[in-house]
Amino acid sequence: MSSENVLDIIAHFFQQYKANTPQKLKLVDAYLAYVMLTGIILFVYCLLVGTFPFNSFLSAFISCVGCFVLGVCLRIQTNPSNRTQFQTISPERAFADFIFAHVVLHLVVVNFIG
Amino acid sequence: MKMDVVRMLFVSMVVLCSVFQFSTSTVFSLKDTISTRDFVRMRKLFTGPIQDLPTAYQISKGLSLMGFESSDANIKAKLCQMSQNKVDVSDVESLFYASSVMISLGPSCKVNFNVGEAESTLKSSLISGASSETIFHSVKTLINLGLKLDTKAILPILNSAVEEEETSVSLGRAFHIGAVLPEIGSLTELFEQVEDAVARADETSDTLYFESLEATSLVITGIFALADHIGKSPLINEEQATKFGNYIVLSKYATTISDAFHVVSAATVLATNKIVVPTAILPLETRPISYSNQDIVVQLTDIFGGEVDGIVNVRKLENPDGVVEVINKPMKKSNGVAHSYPLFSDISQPGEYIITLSTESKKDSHLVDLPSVNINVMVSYKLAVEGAAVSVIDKDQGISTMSFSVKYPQKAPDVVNVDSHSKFVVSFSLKNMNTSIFVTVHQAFVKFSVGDREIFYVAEVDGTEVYKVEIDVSKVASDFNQISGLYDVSLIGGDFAVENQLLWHVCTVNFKFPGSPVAEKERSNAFMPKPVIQHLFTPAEKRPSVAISQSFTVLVLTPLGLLLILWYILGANISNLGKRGIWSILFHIGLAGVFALYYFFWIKLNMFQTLQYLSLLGIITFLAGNRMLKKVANDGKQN
Repeated sequence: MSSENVLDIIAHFFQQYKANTPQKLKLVDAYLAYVMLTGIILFVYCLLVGTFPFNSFLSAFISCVGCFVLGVCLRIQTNPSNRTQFQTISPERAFADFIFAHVVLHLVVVNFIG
Repeated sequence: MKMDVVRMLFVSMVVLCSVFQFSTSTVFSLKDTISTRDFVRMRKLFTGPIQDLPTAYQISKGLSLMGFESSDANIKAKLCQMSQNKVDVSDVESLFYASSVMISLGPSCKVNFNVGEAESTLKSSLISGASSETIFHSVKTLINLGLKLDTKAILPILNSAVEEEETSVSLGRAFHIGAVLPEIGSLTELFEQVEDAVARADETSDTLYFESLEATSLVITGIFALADHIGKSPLINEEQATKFGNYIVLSKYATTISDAFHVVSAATVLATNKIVVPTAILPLETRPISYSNQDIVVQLTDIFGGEVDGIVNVRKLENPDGVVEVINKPMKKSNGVAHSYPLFSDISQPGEYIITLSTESKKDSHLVDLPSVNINVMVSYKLAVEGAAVSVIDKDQGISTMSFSVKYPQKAPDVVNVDSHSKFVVSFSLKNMNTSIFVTVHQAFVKFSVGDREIFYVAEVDGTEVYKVEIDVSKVASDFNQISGLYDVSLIGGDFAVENQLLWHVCTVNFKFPGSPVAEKERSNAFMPKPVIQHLFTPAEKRPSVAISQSFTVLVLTPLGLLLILWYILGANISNLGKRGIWSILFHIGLAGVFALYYFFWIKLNMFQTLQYLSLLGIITFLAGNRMLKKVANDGKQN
């Protein structure tokens, strides 16, 4: 009974998602899924072969985390249903912030990667 | 009442001042003298090769001070020859050296040159602004050649040279010049500078000196020459003369002709002047005083170790316990420099004594009288051992199972067997052989030895002047590494005041230790090279195999593929890219450029260069992005 419920809920969730989510947000979601997957694979690799060189692992993992966070920020700020909370920040502004933060993040990541 | 108090205060102040006068008079003996060996060594230096004219001058003057010998005829000829070859009538310095060599060598040497030309060179060098060295050379040469001097003209030139140069060497030269100028009356001002010069010398507890051996020698010889010329006593006291003497004697191991010359000149003046002659009291006999050597012998000499006319008195004797005995008896003078005193009759115990001596010389002799000189004297004695006894005591029963005595220097014939039930005891007494009084020494041991293994035990006095060592066999087994067997037993006794050290093989003992013998650790020779240490660099961390890392690289990139597929499925609007205008293209190019820059940053650039390029690219990208987004916003609004 409960397992049916869980599956039902998941299916219902996906259906609603497909229907109600604007296309732009779906693109961002795909991007977020990609980043998360990459991060998981990196972590598994580190568990497998050990932490040497630790700085490289950290830099890659932090890059994934950082990208994910910035992606989430972009999604929140460009979501039309959130417009009332972000009246001063237009989607273009959100995108510009996203790009700028990425430039800084990747500079630090490449410096730390060693 | 008030006047009495004031008077008392005044008197006590005067008394205090005079006490301080006494305590600050610290006349002492010269620390060392120029012995005959040193004298001969320095003289040998003077017979070395004659390099140039200044060396010839120093050699000739040095040898004349030390005294020419008949074997020096060859050297004299060479010196004269060098002077003849190198003399130059237009050079003041060479004239000085050549004329001085002539004077030192005497009538056997005649250097030929034009005296008239020489005189005009010399007179023309004595002008205002001349250096003290030039004045010194000129004046001395004029005197050597018997030519006339104008004191009144020379003195002001000399004074201005000394004032300008401000060195002790120039002051020394001035004293020497003053010592040959004829008009003595005008030299008082120069003479008064002697006290200042001596006060400016550097001082240690034993020495007085100027900036170099040459300067010190020049000043000392200058002071005494000037004082002798004027006929007055210079203000240089006995302590200062002795301290100068100590400094000169420090350089007696001179290795150059120049240094030897300065030492000999200064020492000769200090030994032969008629004002103050420093003296030395030094021990002559270095063996300890004992029954067989009962006299203490010292030497009373001048700086050259030569005999001087004076008496030495023994004032006080301090024994090892610090008790001072006043003696006040004169020492007996044997031939030459030695003075002796039969000290052994005043000795009560062996050890280190301090004897205080003083010297007295005739009223008109110029010797420095030494009020108190302390010399350390060691008194030793011969050690004798008595009552040596060996016994074996059974621990359980408390009685001795074997006991015998041994007479020095014999050895007990039988081997003593000791096992773990018993104690092995050695006892002996030490005596002063001459007085038969029991003594304790610094080192009293009993040694057990076999092969090159030695085990020592400290013998302790048990109150009745008997040294004893007790070995409980069961307890000391670890000292012997539990190796049972025969051991030689020896008594050892020694002390710094003992003449004959005791090492006596008393008997042989056979120990039976409980437990099994422990092999003696291989005593590695401390002087052989130690084992070589191979340096290990820290091993590199383990890396995963290439296959795994390559496969994971691919794995990590697969999500990117997934992303592109997803975006395609979702219908990402790529076609709009070109439509947004030039700024959008520029923006994308700029952004791609930034990430390309990051790749190069990883490969080869450093942070500074990256930041420089980044600022450039960043401005372009920002402007382009700004315009692009504005356009997007406007397009969106229009829609």
